[in-house]
This record gives sequence, C-alpha cells and structure tokens, in this order.
Amino acid sequence: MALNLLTEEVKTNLSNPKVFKFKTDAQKFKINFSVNNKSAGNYPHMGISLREGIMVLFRKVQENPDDNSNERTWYNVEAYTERFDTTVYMHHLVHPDEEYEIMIYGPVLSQIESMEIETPENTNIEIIENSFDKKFLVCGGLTSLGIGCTTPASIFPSILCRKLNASVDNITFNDKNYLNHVHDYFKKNTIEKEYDVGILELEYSNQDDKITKLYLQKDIEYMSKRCKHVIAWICVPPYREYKKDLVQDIIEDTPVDNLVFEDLSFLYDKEYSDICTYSGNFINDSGNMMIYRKLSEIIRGL
Amino acid sequence: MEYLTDIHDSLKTINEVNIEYMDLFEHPELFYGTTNFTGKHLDFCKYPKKARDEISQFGQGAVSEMNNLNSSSCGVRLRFKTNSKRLIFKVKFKRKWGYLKMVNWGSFGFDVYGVVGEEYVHRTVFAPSDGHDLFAEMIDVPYNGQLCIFLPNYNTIEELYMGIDEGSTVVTLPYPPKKRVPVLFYGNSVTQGAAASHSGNSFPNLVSKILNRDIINISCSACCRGTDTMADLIGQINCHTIVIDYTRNAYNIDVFKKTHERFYKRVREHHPDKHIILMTSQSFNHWFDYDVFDEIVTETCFNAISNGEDTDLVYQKELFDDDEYDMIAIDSTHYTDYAMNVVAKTICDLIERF
Repeated sequence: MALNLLTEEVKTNLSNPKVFKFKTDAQKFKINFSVNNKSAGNYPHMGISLREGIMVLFRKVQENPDDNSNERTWYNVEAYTERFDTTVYMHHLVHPDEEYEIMIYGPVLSQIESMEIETPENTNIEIIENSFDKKFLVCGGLTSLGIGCTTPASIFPSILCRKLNASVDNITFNDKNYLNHVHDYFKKNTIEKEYDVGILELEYSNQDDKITKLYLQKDIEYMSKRCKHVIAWICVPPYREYKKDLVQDIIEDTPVDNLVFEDLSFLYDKEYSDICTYSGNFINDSGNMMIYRKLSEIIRGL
Repeated sequence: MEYLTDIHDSLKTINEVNIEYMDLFEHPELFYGTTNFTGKHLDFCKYPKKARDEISQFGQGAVSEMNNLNSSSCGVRLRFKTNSKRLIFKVKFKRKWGYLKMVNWGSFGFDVYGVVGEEYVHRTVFAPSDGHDLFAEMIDVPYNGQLCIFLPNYNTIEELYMGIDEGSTVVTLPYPPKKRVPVLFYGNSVTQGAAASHSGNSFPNLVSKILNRDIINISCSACCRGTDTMADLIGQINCHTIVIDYTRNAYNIDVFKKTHERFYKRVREHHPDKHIILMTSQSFNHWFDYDVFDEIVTETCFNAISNGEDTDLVYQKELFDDDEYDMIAIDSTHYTDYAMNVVAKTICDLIERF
C-alpha cells in the first residue's frame, strides 16, 4: 500500500521544514522521498538530514485513548537521507496491530520533491488531518531557519509547534542580513491569516546595523497587525552587546502594544555558551532547546 | 580555512611568512589520551590487533566501524604552552565525508580551548566541509599561551603539522599532579562522542574539562561488545576510575545477559580496588529491549556493591524527564551537548565523591 504525503496543502503552506503526518499499524514502512535544489554551501555546523534529509518521530495512539489534547509526547525514531535505506522498523517500539502516529520533518535547505509511504499488505495507513490549537508566524534569519542544528526536529520552531500543537508559517532566510528580506516578503505577499503568536528573531549578531535601523520597526509593525501577540527575541554575545541597545531603542519608538521583548543572550554567558553555541556565532541543538523553553514559557503565559 | 592538494602546499590566503612547521607525529609528548605510552611516534590506535580482528564475529557493520575508526582521535587532546602568537595547522584526514547525524564541527572538529588556571575557555572550532580531507587553518594564541585542543572524535588524522612563529617554543602542558591518572571510558558511539556539536563536548571530554583531569576514551561505534580482550586491555591501563558504557552494541538480550556481568568481573579482576561506574542504556524512545538491558546492568551493579566492591551506577534514562526525550537526543540515542553535560556532571559527582 502506498500513500502520497505531498498533498497540495503541504506543498503550498509556508512551513519550513515541511511536516508530514500519518497514522498506521504497520510494523515497518518505507519512506520513498526525493529532494531537489540541494544547497552546496559550507555547512560544518549543520547536520546532513537538516540540509537534505528527513527526521522521523512517532507517538502512540492507544496509550492514552482518552487523551485527545494532542499533547502526547513525540519520540525520535531516526534521521535519513536519500543515500540510506529508508525502511523504518517499528517492532521494537510498538506491538503488533498497535496503531501509532508518525511525523516526518523535511529539510530546510532543499525542497521535498516527492514523499510517499509504502506499507505491507493488510496494514492500515492514513494521513492525519491537522487540528492545531495555535497558529504561529516565525520570522528571522539563520537561527530561526535552523543553521547550527543537527536535524530539522531540533530547531526551536519545530519543538514549539510539536510541544504546543501549533501550525507554523516560517518567513526565514539563510542570510545574516534578513530583516530586509522579511520586509520584502511582507511587501510582495499579502498574508490574510491571523496568527496567535508572531516570533521575530530580532537581531543576528552579524547583521548590518543599517539594515536593522531601516527595517526592524517596519517588520514589527507588520507582524503586530497580523498576530495577536508578537515576541521579539534577541540573543547576542557580549562583544555585540551594543546591538541590544540599538534594538531596544528602536522598539521603544515602535508604536505597538502587543509586543513582548525577550533577551536570550544568557546563551552566551559562561554557564551556557560552551554547551549551547559554537564559538560565539551559531546556536546549536541545545541552544535551540533553551530558546524553546523560554518562548514556550512566555506563550503559555500570554 | 584553506583547502590543499598536498600537505606541503604553500598557503595562498594564510600568511606563512616567518612560520616554521613541526611534524606533530614526532611529538607524542604533546598529546593526552593515547594508549601507546612508549612510542617515539604518535599513534592514535587504541586497539591491539587481537581486539581489531575479533570484531569480525560481530558482523559487517561492526567490522566496517572498527576499520574506519580504530585510529580515530576520539578523546585525545593536544595540550601545550607556547610563546608563538599564532599557529597554523595543516591536516590530512582519512575521511572526507560527514556523518548523517553529526555536524562536521563535532565529528571532524579541532575544538580549541584556552586553559586559564583550572578553567577551559572556548576559543574556536574548525573542521573542513564535506568533500575535503586536506586543509590548513590559522588560530590566534591566547595571552598566557596555554591551549588544549580536543581532536576529532570521528576521523583519523593521517598527517598533522603545526606552524609556529620562527624561534618560538612549544612545551608540554601537563595536568595538575593529582589529576594525571586518567579516567578511562569504554563504550559505544555515544561514548565516542557522536552528535556532540563540537568535539570537546562529548561527555568523556566534558568530564576532562570539568575536572581538569586526563582521560582515555577507548570507545568505538558499534564495537563495544564486552569481550575478554577488551577487559584485558582495560586491565593493563593504570587509571583513576573506569566508566563502562556497554549496553546497546550487544546483539540482543540473551547475549547481553551472558556478557555484561562477566565483562565487569573480568575488568574487576584486573582492578580490584578501582572505582568503576556502570552506565545503563541511552534509549529515549521506549525501545522495548533496553528496559531489560537496564535491569541487567542494575543487577551487575547490585551484585558488585553487595560484594563490597567500589562500583556505582548511572541510570541514564532517569537523568531526563520523559517529555524531554525528543530534545536531549538528536535521534533515539545520541545526546545533544546539553545532555552530554548532564551525564558528564553526574559522572564527575561520582568521581569526586570517590
């Protein structure tokens, strides 16, 4: 039995990485997928599955049959690229005939061209219709895109959406100067959706200050109109501390009343920097987990 | 970083004026964590021929990993003090393609720390991009000239030159006298350092940084099988504490039941008075078999303690909440740096209590 997961809805939504979900009772399944537009850049700080592969997670359906809250925990299964055998064996994780759900994250630096699941005969499989509790809009640069992570499941927007059962639209760019690209995107595309929370990466430490001065206020104002709440977060190493002042000055002059400013620069403090960052430049999987923890705390309190 | 076609290529983008190169393979005294203590030539291989050969009984996967990784520089540190203002490294690797679930700064990284008193201050990490095995990189030397560079956990260094300012000196940077006897680690891919975002953040390397103590890491992905040969090898090494992370490389429950306690006892025969820490499995998706594996490890530990032996247990799954499992490992097993740090601190607490 084969099931195509690359539906029109998935193709056209703004999530990056793309997320695919299905449920099945098969003890094994094969993921037939292909990607195109692979990025050939210099990425010693990114895992291959994040660049051009996929990450598979699962959760059980029957463990808490009354629990429809969508808060049941997802567990990691495995990462794959096209070069590896993509048969997923589940017999060590679920009992025969037991139904479970699978979530697959696509890559962020290449595009999924096809995504089909093959299961043995006499097994059931169906796409899970999305039913989200919240809608997020994530705008930003390298960190929001996932540069510094090993797999697409480790990026903080992926964790937030997984843990809070939220959909996400990502307006994120692989460029140290990204606030201008976010602005251009908003200018060229009319977004009709209303979001519960907008999450804006305020400043990447290497962003040109001129870009920040020109576009930050405009980006916040636009997000403020489309989102019930906007969380603007900053994370800069001590030697870029002045950038924090610049951003705070701009925010004070921005006439919006639904903005929360969060300073996550503690990731570069002595206690965290070795574990959460690379050489004061990029944030790794652990740093993304820390960002998730802080942002989820704020979101739950909104 | 500059990529080369020959290790002796003149550099185009890095200034080599007034730089003289030393072949670091001729300076084993600058390296910590190797097991060939008597050689005049640096040798990263930690496994005697018998240990390498016996892996053939465990299948092609294990053979391939042993062939690939038997001379990886996992857990090895280049430590020295110099008055050179800058250093240029020229490196030839065995492998040029990255691993599926590791970033290259983790698997292939030269992870550079300044040593200030007992503290390690991260300065930079460098590793080539995929497709490159020959490269040069320049780093600045801190004011006090003291560096500890954690070498790649998942690659073999075939050639290694260090360029220093002409006329400058490089001397050894030993650990404090009471911390020179190493902590010994024996385990699987996680113990070898898989998925740490930079080389210095595998949990054995973190233990070394936290305690400012020497370590030896004889872990090899897929090859931790609890054999007599490896128990005897561990038996020959003078060490402070032995951390045995033998679980998931065992083929199945029956094999593990037959080999775990037997392996522990054989190590214990060699080291009757040493502190030994046993680790349960790293399994963060409720894989059925590993609950039984953990019971077996717990039983080995309980029996040892009942026998009056100095043995401790680290129950790895209990170090984390269930709802963290998808974040503390990048798959079902391999820790992120945060989790590596939690495990390292737990081991350090046990070592310091001892």
